[in-house]
Amino acid sequence: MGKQELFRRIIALPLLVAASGCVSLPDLAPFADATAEVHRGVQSGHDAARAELELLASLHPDDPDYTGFVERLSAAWKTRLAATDALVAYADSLAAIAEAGNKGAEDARSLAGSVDKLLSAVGSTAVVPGTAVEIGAAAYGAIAKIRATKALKDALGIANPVVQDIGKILGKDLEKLADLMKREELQADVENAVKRSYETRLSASLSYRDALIARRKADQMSIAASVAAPAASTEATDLPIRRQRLLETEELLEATEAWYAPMVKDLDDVERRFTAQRSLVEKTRKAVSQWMETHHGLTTTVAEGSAQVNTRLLLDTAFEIRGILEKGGPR
Amino acid sequence: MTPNWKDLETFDDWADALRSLMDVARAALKAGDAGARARIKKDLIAFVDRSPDWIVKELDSLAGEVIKALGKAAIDDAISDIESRTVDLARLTKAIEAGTAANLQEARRIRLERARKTVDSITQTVGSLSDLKASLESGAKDDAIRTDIETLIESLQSLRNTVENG
Repeated sequence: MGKQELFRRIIALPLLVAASGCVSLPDLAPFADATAEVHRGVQSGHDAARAELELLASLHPDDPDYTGFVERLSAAWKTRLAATDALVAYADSLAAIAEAGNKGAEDARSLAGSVDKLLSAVGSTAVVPGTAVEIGAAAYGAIAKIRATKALKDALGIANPVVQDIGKILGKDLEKLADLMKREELQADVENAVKRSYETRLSASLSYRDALIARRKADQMSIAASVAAPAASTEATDLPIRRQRLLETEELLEATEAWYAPMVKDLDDVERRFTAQRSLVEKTRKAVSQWMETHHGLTTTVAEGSAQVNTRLLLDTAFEIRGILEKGGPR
Repeated sequence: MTPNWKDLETFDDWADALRSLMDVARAALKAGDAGARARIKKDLIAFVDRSPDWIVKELDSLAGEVIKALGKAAIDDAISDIESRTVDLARLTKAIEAGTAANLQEARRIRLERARKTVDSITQTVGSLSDLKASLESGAKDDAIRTDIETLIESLQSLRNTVENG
């Protein structure tokens, strides 16, 4: 290498390093983390719907259609999970490019370390001089940033239309899942099936309880009438008998709680479960929509050479999903 | 239209009410109207809840079948709708996977992974060759191999010179 060329290179290095100061790479690790939460939300939404369909299938053992629904939903959802899995890997790969750009100097030092080992292996006592390593590392740090920025810009630009289409499909799928989980749809079916299953097993007991409730109501009304207008009431004469019977009825009703309370609890559980499931599916739907917006924003931002990516809304929703799932999910 | 439950007393009252509900349910199923299906299902469930067992137990069974049919139609619609987008989604997923593979390759390139691996591999090879050279016995055949190894090591040493001299 001639002196002029060497001089040119030495001058060029600081310029390159200075130029790299203008190149900013966004921190994409939070975006990648949020994508993983979207995936978990999509998975859990399916799991919740599947569990309710399985419950319906078990309550209608003579009807194979319900088992068919379970299988069809899971088969279709497998493709959704593959899609969000691919989005997680894709987001990780974007983060890997950004990280590679930010760690250029470190990687150059690592390469110099490898070269040192090679020199030692071939019997050289020389090592790559520390100053040369640092200059090379700084120069490569700048090159890596420029390369990574270009790679991100290209990758985002190519992927964005595909990502938007995937997001639209997932949005529609989750909307359909939300429709299915509505109070008047699957929840009504499950509640009805649970009630009928208790009625089949406890038919006589439920009739007995209904009769007790009817008698209590009749006695309460009669007592209320005689208390309001004692002179006019024809009920006044047997008031003590009715009072005594009302006490007995209350005791008998209390005794029915042993078998009636589990049914009430089961129905309350259905309501509680579906409320949580609807919340999860809704938040996941919102997260998918925010994910698409964030990706679009990222594409524009990187194309404009900025590192300012707004992931706040997406992260907030991702944390909400994580919160629901960490509490044990909707079941 | 939701029956006026308080007016229903005899078996015929309840049977007429169910007949009307079933007509509406049939129309909702035929029209594929999700909202109408959900509304009539609610009325039919109320019918079963409110009807006195000692009068209309057999009617409850009929109502139960229609409730099931309405529920199944809604589930089938939802799943069919999701299924209809599966092929498109699978195609798009493949496109993203291809992009991901290219991104990872680019990240590895920027991180100089290939260069580091190459240098590390050469270092390892040099070590192995030096060991082999030391272990060779004197002899015409071994001498020829030793010469080859020496040539190889020399070429690697020229790599050292390149690195050392920039």
